[in-house]
Amino acid sequence: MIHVGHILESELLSYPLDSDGLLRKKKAVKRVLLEQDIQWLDKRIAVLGGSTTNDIQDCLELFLLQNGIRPSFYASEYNRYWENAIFGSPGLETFSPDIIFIHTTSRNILRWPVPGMEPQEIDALLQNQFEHFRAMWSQLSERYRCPIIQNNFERPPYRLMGNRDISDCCGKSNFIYRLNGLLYDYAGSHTDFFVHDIDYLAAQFGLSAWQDQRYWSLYKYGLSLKAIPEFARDLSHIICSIYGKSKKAVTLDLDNTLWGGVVGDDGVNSLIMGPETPAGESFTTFQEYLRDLKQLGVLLTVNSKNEQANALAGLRHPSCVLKPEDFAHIAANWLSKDVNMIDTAHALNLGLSSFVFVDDNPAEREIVRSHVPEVTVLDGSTPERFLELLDHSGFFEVTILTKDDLARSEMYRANALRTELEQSCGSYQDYLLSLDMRACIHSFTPVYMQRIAQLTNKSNQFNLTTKRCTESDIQRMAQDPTYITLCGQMEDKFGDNGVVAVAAGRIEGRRVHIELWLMSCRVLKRDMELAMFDRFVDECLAQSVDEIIGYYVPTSKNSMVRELYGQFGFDKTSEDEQGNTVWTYYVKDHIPKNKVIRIV
Amino acid sequence: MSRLEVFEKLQEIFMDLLDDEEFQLSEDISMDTLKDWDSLMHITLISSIEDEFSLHIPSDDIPNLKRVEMLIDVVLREMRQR
Repeated sequence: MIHVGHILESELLSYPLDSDGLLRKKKAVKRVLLEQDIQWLDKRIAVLGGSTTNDIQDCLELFLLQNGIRPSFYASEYNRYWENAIFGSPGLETFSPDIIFIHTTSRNILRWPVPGMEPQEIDALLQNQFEHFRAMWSQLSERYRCPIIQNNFERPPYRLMGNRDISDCCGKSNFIYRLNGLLYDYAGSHTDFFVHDIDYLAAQFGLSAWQDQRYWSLYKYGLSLKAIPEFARDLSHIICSIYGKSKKAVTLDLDNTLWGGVVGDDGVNSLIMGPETPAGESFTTFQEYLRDLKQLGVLLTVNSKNEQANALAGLRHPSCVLKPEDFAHIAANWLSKDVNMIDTAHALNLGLSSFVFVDDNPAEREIVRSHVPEVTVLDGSTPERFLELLDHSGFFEVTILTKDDLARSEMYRANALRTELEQSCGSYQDYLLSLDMRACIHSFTPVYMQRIAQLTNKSNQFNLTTKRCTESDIQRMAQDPTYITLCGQMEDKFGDNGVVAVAAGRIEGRRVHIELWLMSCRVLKRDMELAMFDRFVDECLAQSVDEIIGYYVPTSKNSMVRELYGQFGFDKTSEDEQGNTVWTYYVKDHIPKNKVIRIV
Repeated sequence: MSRLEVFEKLQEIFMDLLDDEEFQLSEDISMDTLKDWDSLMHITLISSIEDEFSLHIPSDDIPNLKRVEMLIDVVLREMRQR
């Protein structure tokens, strides 16, 4: 069964999709996915549709299940999305969505410009149409305070004026172009609002195939049935990214993956890369894409069967876009690649499921796939194909881009320097002191909301409750006077780590219940958790709280903090069969614990 | 393609759509007798048939094809006309 499941999953759910096969076998795929023995993340998704949405829901469910998210759905009545949103709906209120997806398409444009209309008239039409949507978004976000995903509008399949349709304000194409512009401006100035780019999807799928008049006339489908799997997969990328399911690193082979040729055999000068040859240009284009991914905060690492010196020489080739400094970790040796994967994950403090492995050699791919199945392996053997697969698989879908993401690679490089320092210090305590650490700990403040929400979604190992929060959730806690909220930034002599620790507790009488306690893995074993705890106790004293109640909720990834509260000096007060534990700390007994970090 | 061959392919399509490997199709099964064959499954069913036999079923026929027998008839007819 597991074997069948793997085939079903890998053949039917990954790029490029077999739409017909997936639609036909969706029941079996769902059954197999639900048999996975994993910790599901349950999410309530409201689908407000301007057309029929059943198949979209069915397919979206599959792609979410594939990524560990188990959705339940609420669907608005057919084409009642706007009324549901504006006037509220008891069903939707009761459902209390975690995410709202508004499925509208160009079919839902109320009034189109027609040839001969005055520009002012069209401007008014555009404003009216936009206002229709804007009012809906603002109602929804006020009422439900959850992320909203809105389709943009795809180009109409017909062009009344031919090429002029896109530039003349009377053209439908032009109208869609302008309407989308207003939508993007709105998205740029509102948090927890995400655009699902069906304009791109339709173009990529083929505009004529995307809209099937028959499906609209017969069933009121806003897009062709065959386009729905692709649509749902793309939509799932946004939802997975919101809940921190994105990958974090690309691990690359070198010979015939990053460049053409084998550096150890052919020598550095014979390597194929650079614009001089067509083959070399393909490798360069792939490298440029990787460099840009790195700018977004994706880590790059090397996993290559090579002498270290040869690998570095190849990376220093004048036409090599990626330099040794661009990699957060380089494993160039003769160990088996699955062993290197585990070492790399360990060195970067990341889970294996955060990695995408790229190698032109099918035998190496198979070794990694079978020995470390958590790692995602790209099935391709040319740079063009690697790029296409990386780009279309949604591994690195960006929903929130923080300053922190942009500086991530730098931070990991600084970590490598810290490791060197650690090895030269006599004791761990000496090492910590020599780092000259400074922390700034304060309550949740507006500029950090995005980063805090992101941390709650991305931190898996040092996370006591693994409660995932959206930016709206974080804002709510920040504004609620019954919450103690803390976020901690840390810097040391090698650089600024940014916001790395988050804590939040709800006060009830003289007790506070800790709902969030987590820390980024990049500052593990630096005593930052002690500095956070000292500060948390100070807040308790200020708010006349006597007891702190801590909760540990076990997951497959957070066993490292199972005894954290015990180490802080909490008493364990209960433990159930699943391993959930509850702990109590008496504030009056507190003695400051942090001795190595200066609080600024 | 014979009536029996069309029937056998339809049998496989129904098995996939229902996720039931033991499902026994018969020509007199209809939307009235098979509970899971609702209007939503009908959409996927028609699309799967078109894909399997590489043909196009006219829109006006689609809502009327409520019995397996009618599905076979329309497939044979469209294949002859191709």
